[in-house]
Amino acid sequence: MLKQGMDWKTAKRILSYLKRYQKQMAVVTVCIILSAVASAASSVFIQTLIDGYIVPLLGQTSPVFGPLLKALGVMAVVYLVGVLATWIYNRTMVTIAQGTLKQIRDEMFAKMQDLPVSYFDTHTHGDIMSRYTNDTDTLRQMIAQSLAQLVSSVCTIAAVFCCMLYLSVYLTAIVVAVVAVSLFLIKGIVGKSGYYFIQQQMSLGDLNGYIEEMVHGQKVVKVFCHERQAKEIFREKNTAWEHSSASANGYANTMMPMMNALGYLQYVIVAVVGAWMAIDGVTNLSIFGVKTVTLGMIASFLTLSRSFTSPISQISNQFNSVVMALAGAARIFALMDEQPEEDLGRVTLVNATERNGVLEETREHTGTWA
Amino acid sequence: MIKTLWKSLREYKKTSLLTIGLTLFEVVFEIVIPLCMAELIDRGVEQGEMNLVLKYGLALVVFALLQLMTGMGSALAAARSAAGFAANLRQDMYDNVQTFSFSNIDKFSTSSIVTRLTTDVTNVQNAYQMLIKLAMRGPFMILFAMVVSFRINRGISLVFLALIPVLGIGLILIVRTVHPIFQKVFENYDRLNNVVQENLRGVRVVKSFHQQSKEIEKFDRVSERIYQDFAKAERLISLNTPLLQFCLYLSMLLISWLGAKAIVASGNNAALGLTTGDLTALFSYAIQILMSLMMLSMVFAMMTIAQSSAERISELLQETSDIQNPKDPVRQVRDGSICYQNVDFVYASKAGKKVIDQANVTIQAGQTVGIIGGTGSSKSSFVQLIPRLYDVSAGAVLVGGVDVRRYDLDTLRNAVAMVLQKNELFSGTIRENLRWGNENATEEEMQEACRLACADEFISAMPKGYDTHIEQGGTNVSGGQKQRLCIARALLKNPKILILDDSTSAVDTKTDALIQKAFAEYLPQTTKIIIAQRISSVQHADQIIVLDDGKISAIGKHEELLKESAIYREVFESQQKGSGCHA
Repeated sequence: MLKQGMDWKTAKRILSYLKRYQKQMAVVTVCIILSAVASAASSVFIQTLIDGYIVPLLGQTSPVFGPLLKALGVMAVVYLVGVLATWIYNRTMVTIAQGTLKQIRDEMFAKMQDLPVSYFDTHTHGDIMSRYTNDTDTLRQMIAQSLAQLVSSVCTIAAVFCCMLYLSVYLTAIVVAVVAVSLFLIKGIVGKSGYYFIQQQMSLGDLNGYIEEMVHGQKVVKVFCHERQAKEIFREKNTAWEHSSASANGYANTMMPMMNALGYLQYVIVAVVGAWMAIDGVTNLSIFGVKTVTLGMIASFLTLSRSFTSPISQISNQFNSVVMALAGAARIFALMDEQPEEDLGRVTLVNATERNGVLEETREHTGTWA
Repeated sequence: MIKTLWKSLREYKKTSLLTIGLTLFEVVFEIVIPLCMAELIDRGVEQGEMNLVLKYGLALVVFALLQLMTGMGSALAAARSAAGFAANLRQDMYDNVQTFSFSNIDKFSTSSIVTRLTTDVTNVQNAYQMLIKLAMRGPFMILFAMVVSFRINRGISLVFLALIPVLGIGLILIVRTVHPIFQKVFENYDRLNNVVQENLRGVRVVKSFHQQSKEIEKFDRVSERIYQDFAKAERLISLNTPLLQFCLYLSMLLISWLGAKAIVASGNNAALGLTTGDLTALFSYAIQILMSLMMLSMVFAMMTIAQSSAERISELLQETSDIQNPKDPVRQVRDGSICYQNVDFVYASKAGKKVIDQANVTIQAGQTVGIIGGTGSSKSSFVQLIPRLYDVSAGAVLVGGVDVRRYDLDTLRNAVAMVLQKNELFSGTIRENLRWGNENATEEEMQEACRLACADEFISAMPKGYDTHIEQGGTNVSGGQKQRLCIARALLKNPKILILDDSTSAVDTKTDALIQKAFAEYLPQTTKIIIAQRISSVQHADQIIVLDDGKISAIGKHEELLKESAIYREVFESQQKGSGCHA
């Protein structure tokens, strides 16, 4: 199955583990918004600084810098809040991520204790061990970094979208159309990458299994001079892993350049169409009514559209870790979903002791059972 | 450490350089494109010049395509380099482990070797990939941005310079504090692997003794420690983004203040000094520098985690086996005679205690020798000196009249077949397992060996016979069946010396006697050394060695020992009483 879309089922299941961190997630979301606001404020500030505080002072014989200092003071407070918010949400995400990893590890082990012996006889030990280490580790990057990045990007996109609509509905429509086309184009890459990441984790599990068995029996390997064969079989498995890893990462890495290129393309289209609209005096539709298109407005729109597409390409940057995490999680959940041993017994044996001719249950080791 | 890892890069040096080269091109376009975009707005859109809009638009499309190609190229090259590097590291480590002697393996422990070969390599792979993808970008962008801003206004640009050392010191402090924590984290990963491994191998024991909850507690404890340490380390690393933002915002405030003063002073006249346009540019370059520094700090965070992994990998790569082939090794073993001359042996890790103390024995080729002793009397260590699984600390062991240390290791080990106490069969068919003794064994040879080991009847009783699949750890055959298969495997080597370390403990007395008889009849030239708990297994030996706490307490035939050795007599009598029948 070469084409595999995004594994939404596994993604939802991973997110369900975050449910117990609802309060922290709320704090994180607030902090992300604050942090984003602070950095957005800086870009707005530049224009205000120049128009409001510098230009008026030009030409004055003895310029008063008081108001400027006050404005700087206000900005300093905004910035401080932003920095603190960044620190808080980064720290909290660490707790959430590591806590979720621990929860998954512990749950997996507890579930494993209830599996029937046949499971252990039919799966190599190293492959099972791989789920506790290699597969769980893939989740760390996704939860700690990608998730926060996602939330931050989504907020930015939402805000910018509203601003764009305010300026021009037609141009916004063009932007959305281009984005839709890009997403459609990269769907194929998403599928390929996902497939190879699953292969990577599987071959890593296989490798883990081989290593574990051989190293555990290394003494026998030595006694029977089996080293050469051991190395050769290892080489085969190692090469299989290498191919799947190179393909998986290769496809995932190409996401960002693709999104960037599509972003530039979109810029050109908007510029050309916008300029034509302005020069030919096409009537413009905005959510606040009909206006004529001005060249200045086009310029602002173009700059704004950059802020729309750059978060999207930042999300694509995180792509590697997300797809890899889904591959690892799928294996973990497979283990957890195995049928446990069924305890159909209705009789419980307890230690018993005779007291006054009557059999009673007791905690001591009496050697008598009932 | 870097030098050791560098060696494994080999054929991927070229792809790595390709990645870096392509990334540089990408960066060039990344700088050119925004300039182009600015021109599109300033000269095209704002002036209403449609053909300029089209001209710059076309240029942008061309640049975008070029950036796409270099971007995709570097993406694929980066993935290939990192995966190739990781595969090489793994192969080199595994190959080295194959050369390890028993004491080298003891030093690292199985689960630690597994962790190093998997988790640690993955960490290094991810860090390396990020390094070659992003490392060039950051410094290049920063350099470019600095150069341009210096040309605009030297004084204000000095603000940037002042902040970099502040950042640098902050980052170094974080690294120093975090590094030892990560070392602890990976040690705990080893422990986790160990607990899981024990539970997998011992699943039957855990279930029969109903120890599930105890094992879960054990696991939870290690898991908790990993959580605490890893979280602590990551929290420290997470300080670096706020630190970065702090420096950026501070510099923006300073630039605003200094810039405002400079513009007012110059009256916004380009000829005289700073203009508002210049200030806008300075701000955008400040943000540019921040973005690049952010990228570098991400690389930096990955590096910190990878550093501990890299050290563990390098440790494994640098370990040299303490049992090596000598120069001009002897490549032929004359016969199966063995001689111990004043042999002492200590384990490297427990250097105080002499495990073997002044052993002196002479064994003729073809003799059957029994070794008896209580638990912990060093019987296994005694025989492991013969095929050089461990080396003597003093004295010498001679095989065929030559000190074992002068033989080529493969030659020696092919001449000495050993059936270890812990019998390991590997996942595969019975036939594949038997072939470990001799790759080219014919069907007749295999069946003959199984007949001698009294394994043929249960193999033929199995539905698939020799093609029966053995599960990992040999869990689907009984203990006695495992032992007999291991003996058959050893017999296929056609050895000059056959050592059986307590290998018939799970076999019943009658089968044991049959095996002994087969040895005596069909392997007259092979020296047979049998370590056993039951005197009945070694009663008919040519010599019996009695070991007591590492010293040879007595040597002789059964009747002599009954008279002269109190220990032997005690063991014999206790076994007679237990069996309830007369010998």
